[in-house]
Amino acid sequence: MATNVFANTVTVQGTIKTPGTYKAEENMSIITALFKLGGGSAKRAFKFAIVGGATGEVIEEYRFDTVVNTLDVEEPTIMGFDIGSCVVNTIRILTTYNYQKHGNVACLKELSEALTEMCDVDGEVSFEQFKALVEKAKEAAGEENKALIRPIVSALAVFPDEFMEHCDMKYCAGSCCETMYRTPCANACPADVDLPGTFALLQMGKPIESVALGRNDNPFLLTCGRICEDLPCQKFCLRQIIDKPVYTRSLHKYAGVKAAELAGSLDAALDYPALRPTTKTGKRVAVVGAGPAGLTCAYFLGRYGHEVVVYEAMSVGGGMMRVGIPDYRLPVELLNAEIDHICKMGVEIKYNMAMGKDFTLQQLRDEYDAVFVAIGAFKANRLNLPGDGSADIVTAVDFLYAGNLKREWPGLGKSVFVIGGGNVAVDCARVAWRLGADDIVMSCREEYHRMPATVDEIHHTEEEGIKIYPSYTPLDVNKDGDKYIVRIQKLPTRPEGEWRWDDPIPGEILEFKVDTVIAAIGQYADIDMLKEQGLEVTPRRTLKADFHTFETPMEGVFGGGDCVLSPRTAIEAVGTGKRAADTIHKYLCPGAKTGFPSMRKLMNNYVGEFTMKEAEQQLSYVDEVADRRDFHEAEQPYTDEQAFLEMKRCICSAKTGLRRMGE
Amino acid sequence: MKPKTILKIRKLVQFLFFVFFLVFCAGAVCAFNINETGVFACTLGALEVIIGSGTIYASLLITGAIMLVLTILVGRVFCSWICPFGAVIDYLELLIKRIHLKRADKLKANAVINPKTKYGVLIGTLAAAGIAKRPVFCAICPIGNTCRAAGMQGVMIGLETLFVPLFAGLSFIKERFWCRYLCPVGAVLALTDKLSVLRVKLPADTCIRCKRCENACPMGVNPWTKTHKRVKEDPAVIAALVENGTPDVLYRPIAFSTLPAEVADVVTATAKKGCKIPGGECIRCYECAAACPILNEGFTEKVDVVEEAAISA
Ligand SMILES: Cc1cc2nc3c(=O)[nH]c(=O)nc-3n(C[C@H](O)[C@H](O)[C@H](O)COP(=O)(O)OP(=O)(O)OC[C@H]3O[C@@H](n4cnc5c(N)ncnc54)[C@H](O)[C@@H]3O)c2cc1C
Ligand code: SF4
Ligand code: SF4
Ligand code: SF4
Repeated sequence: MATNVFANTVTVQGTIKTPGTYKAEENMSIITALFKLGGGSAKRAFKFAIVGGATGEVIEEYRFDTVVNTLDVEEPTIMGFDIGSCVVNTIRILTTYNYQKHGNVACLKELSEALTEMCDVDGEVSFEQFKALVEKAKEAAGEENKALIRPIVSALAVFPDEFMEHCDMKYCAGSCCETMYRTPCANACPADVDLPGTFALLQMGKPIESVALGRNDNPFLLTCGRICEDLPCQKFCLRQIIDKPVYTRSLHKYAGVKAAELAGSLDAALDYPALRPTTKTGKRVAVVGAGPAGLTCAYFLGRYGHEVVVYEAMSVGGGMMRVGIPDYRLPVELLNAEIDHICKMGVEIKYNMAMGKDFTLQQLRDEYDAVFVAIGAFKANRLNLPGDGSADIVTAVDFLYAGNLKREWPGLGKSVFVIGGGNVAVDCARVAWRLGADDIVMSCREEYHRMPATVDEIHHTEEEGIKIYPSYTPLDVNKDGDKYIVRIQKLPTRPEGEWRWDDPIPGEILEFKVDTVIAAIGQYADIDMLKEQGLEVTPRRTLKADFHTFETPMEGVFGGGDCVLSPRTAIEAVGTGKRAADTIHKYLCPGAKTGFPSMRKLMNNYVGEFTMKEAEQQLSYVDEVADRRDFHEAEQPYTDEQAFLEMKRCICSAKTGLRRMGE
Repeated sequence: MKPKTILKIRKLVQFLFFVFFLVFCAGAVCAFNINETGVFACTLGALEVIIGSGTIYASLLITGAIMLVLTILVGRVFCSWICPFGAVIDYLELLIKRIHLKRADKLKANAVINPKTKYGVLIGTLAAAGIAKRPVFCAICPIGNTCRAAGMQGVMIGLETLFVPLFAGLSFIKERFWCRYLCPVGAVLALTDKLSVLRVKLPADTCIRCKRCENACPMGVNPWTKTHKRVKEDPAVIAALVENGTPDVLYRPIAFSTLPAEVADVVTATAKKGCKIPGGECIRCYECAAACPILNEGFTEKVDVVEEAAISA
C-alpha cells in the first residue's frame, strides 16, 4: 500500500469554480474536494472525476462519496469533469501525455493510437479490438507500470458504453470528437435536428422549408419549440465561445409562426411534399401509446412505407404533452396539427383502445409484423404520509389530466398545497391558479437553487403569486372538516454536492390549512400491466429494452419513451421513437437502408450570415400577470427583428462542420 | 486588409490575367511554340524542353525560374491568381454550384484518388519528354490550350483544345479535380511551395470552430484540421492541458477569457506558429480566410448591444 498522498495538500482542478491547491482534510471525500474546496462545477453537473492526475483513477459521479485516501494513487490531484466531457477524448489526451512523458511502456503508443482512431470518424478500431488491446497493455504493464494505464482501465470499467459508441457507432455524446458530427447542437439533440440548416433557411426567408427540414428529423419540431426544457442543443452550442448559446427553441417557434403565416394555415405549412412516403413495403406495425415516442416511431415507420396503427388508451393523442403539459405552454391546435400531419404518413390512430383492457400484446404480435410499446409513465407515485387526510391527496397526473381536458377540478377551492419541486409540480400550481385558486403554496425538499424545476418556470410561478417553501419535508396531512391541515418541517441545508438529507430540524414546523393537496412526486410506467403482457421490467420500474436499439427481450417487440427511460423529456421520447423506427425498419426489411434523403439542397449553397452581437433574451412574457389567468399561450414569439439577430448569432449556420451528412 | 477584400482582388487579378493570356498572349508563353517564338516557357515546359533536347537554354532557365521565384516569395499563387485554366475551372465551378451537384465527399482529401498522383504525372511528363525528345505534354496541356484557344490572331480551335473542357469537366467529380490530383505544373509548384515564406493565416487563438474555412477550401487542404486541430494535439499544449487538470477544455464550447491562464499562454504561443496553413497543396486562393467570420468581423467577446443601439439611434 502506497503512503497516503493526500496527507498534506490536495490540488483540485477541472471545470470547477475555484481550482487551486488546498490543505487536505482528513478522510476527505471527492465531494468535499470538488464542492467545498473547488466551489462546485462551473457550469453543469459533474459526470466523473479523475483522482490522482494523469495516472489517476476515473470515478463516476454517484461514487463521489469515496474517501480519496482509500485510493492507491500517486498524485494528490482531483480533476472534476462535468457532463459536457467526453470520457474517451479525455482518456486519449491523458494517454498521449503519458506516452510523451514515459515513452512506450505498457503499450502506451498503441493505446494512444487506438484512442485517436476511436475519436475519429474514419478510425477503424472496433470495441472488441480495443478491449483486447487494453488486456494486452495490462499484461505488458505488470505491477510497476500499472499506474500508467489506470485511467484507461478504470474508464473502460465505468463507461463501457461510451467506448463502444465511439468504436462501433461513431457517436460522441459529449460532442467533443469533432469529426463525428456536423455541429455540436445537432449531435446533442436526441432527434438529430439539423439546427444550423433550419436557421440558414430562416435567414434565407424560407420558413416553410425550415420547418420541413427540422421535421424531417423531428415530427414534433414545433411542439418542442414550445416545451423543450433543459435544451441539450443549447448546452453544447458553440456560440458559448463568444457569449450565450443561441436560443434554438425560440427560433423554431418563430419558424412555425412564420410558416403558418406564409402558407395560410399551419396544416398547409406542415404538409411539405418531400416528407411524404414514397414506397409501400406491405409490412404492418402496431404502436401502443400515442405519446411523442409512439407517434414519432409511427411517423418514421410510415415514411419508410410501413402501415402503422397506433393504439391509444385515451380519447386524445399526444400523451403527456396533451394531458400533462398545460395548454398555456403548448397550444392544443399546434400539437394536433403536428399529429394530423403524422397521420398523413399512412398512420392510423385508434383511440380508446388500452392494452391489457381492450386487447393484449399477444393479439398485436399475431396480427402485426412488429410492435412498439411506448405507454409512457402514467402511474403517479403516491405519498404515504401519516394523517387521515393522506388518502385524499390528489396526484399530479389526475389533476393535470382534468385541468387540461375538462378545465375544472371539483372542490379545488381557493387554497391549494402542492408537494414537489419539479416542473410537474410547477405546472400543477400554475394550473390551479388558472382554475381559480388564489392562495397556492408549494413545498419541496430541495434547496431553492437545487429545485429540479427550471429557473424560468420558477420565476413565472413566483410572478403569479405562488409561494414556494424549499427545504421542507411534508410531515402529515389531516382532515379538518372540509379542509386539510398540512404540516411541513424544515430540513437542514445540505452541503453542496451532497444528495442525502439529514433529519429535519426539530421544532421548525409550518402549518397550512388548505382546500386541496396535490402531490407531484414522480411518475412511473404501468409495470403490472406490462408484466401481465409477458414483458420484462427492470427494478427501476421501467420496461426492459436496449438503450441503443430499443429491442425488448421479446422477439419483434420494441419499446421506447418514458416507459423505458423513466420520466424524462419529450425530445428524449422523440429520440427513442426515431431510433426504434430505424431498428424496426431494419428488422422488417433486413439490409434496408435507414434515414431519409437530405433536404440540405434547399439551401442552395447559402453560406449564412453571422453577427457578433449578443443575444437579447430568450422569449418574453409580454402578457401582464393579470392577463395570464386563462389557458391561452402566454409566451410571445420573437419579432422579425429579434429573430434575425438571433439566427445570425448561430456560428455554424449553413455550410459548416467537419462531417457532411448525406449531401 | 480583410481577407474578403483580398479574395475580391484575387478574382479581379485572375480575370485580368485570363483576358491577358487569352487575348494578347496566345501561344507566346508556352514551350509548345518553342520552335517558333523560342524564348518563353513555364517551368514545366522549360524542364521538358531541356530534358527533351538535352540542351540548356539560358532564356528558358530564366523564364522557367520566374514561376519558381514567385512561388518561393509569395507562395503557390500561380494556380489561383494567374493560371488561365484555373480561371476556367473557377468559372465552371460557379455553374456546378448552381446545379447542386452531389460530389464526392469534399472533406476527405483522398476521397477520389491520392493527391500525390500529380507527382506521378510530373515524372511521366518529364520521362515522355525525354523519350520523345520533345515536350509532348504541352500538346495536351489544358493551360496552354486555354491560351491558344482564342486570341488576337482569331479563334484557333483545334482538336487539342478539347482537352480544356475534358480536364475542366473533371470538376464534376470533385472541386478543382485537375489542380488537386493531376496537374504536373501544380506538382512542380507544390514542391517549390514547401519552401515558401508567406502563408495564409487563420485567426490564432480566437477561432470559434465554425469550420467554414474547412468547407470553403477548393483544394481539400482541410485548413482547420491542418491548423487549429493540430495545435490542440501539439505536445506542449497537451502537457499544459493535463498539468492544469483540464485535458479536454479546448474541445468544449468555452470562452477564451475563461481558459486557465497557463493553458491560454501555451495555446496562443503554439497557435501563433500553428495557424499558418502549410505550403504545398494550398494555392493561396484565400477562400478559407474570406469565409472566416473572425478574420472578417473581428473577434469581440460580448459586444455591447446597448452601446451599438445608441450609436445607430
Ligand atoms: C406535467 C408534465 C409536464 C411536462 N413538461 C415537459 C416539458 O415542459 N418539456 C418536456 O420536454 N417534457 C415535459 N414533460 C415530459 C414529457 O411530457 C414526457 O417525457 C413525454 O410525453 C413522454 O413521452 P412518451 O411517448 O414516452 O409517453 P407519454 O407521453 O406518457 O405517452 C404515452 C401514451 O400511451 C398511452 N397509454 C398508456 N397506457 C396505455 C395502454 N395500456 N394502452 C394503450 N395506450 C396506453 C397514454 O395514454 C399516452 O397517450 C412533462 C411531463 C409532465 C407530466
Ligand atoms: S452556433 Fe448554431 S449550429 Fe453552432 S452549435 Fe450553436 S446553434 Fe448549433
Ligand atoms: S488559401 Fe485556403 S482555401 Fe485556398 S487553397 Fe489555401 S487553404 Fe485552401
Ligand atoms: S473559419 Fe475561422 S473561425 Fe471558423 S473554424 Fe475556420 S479559422 Fe476558425
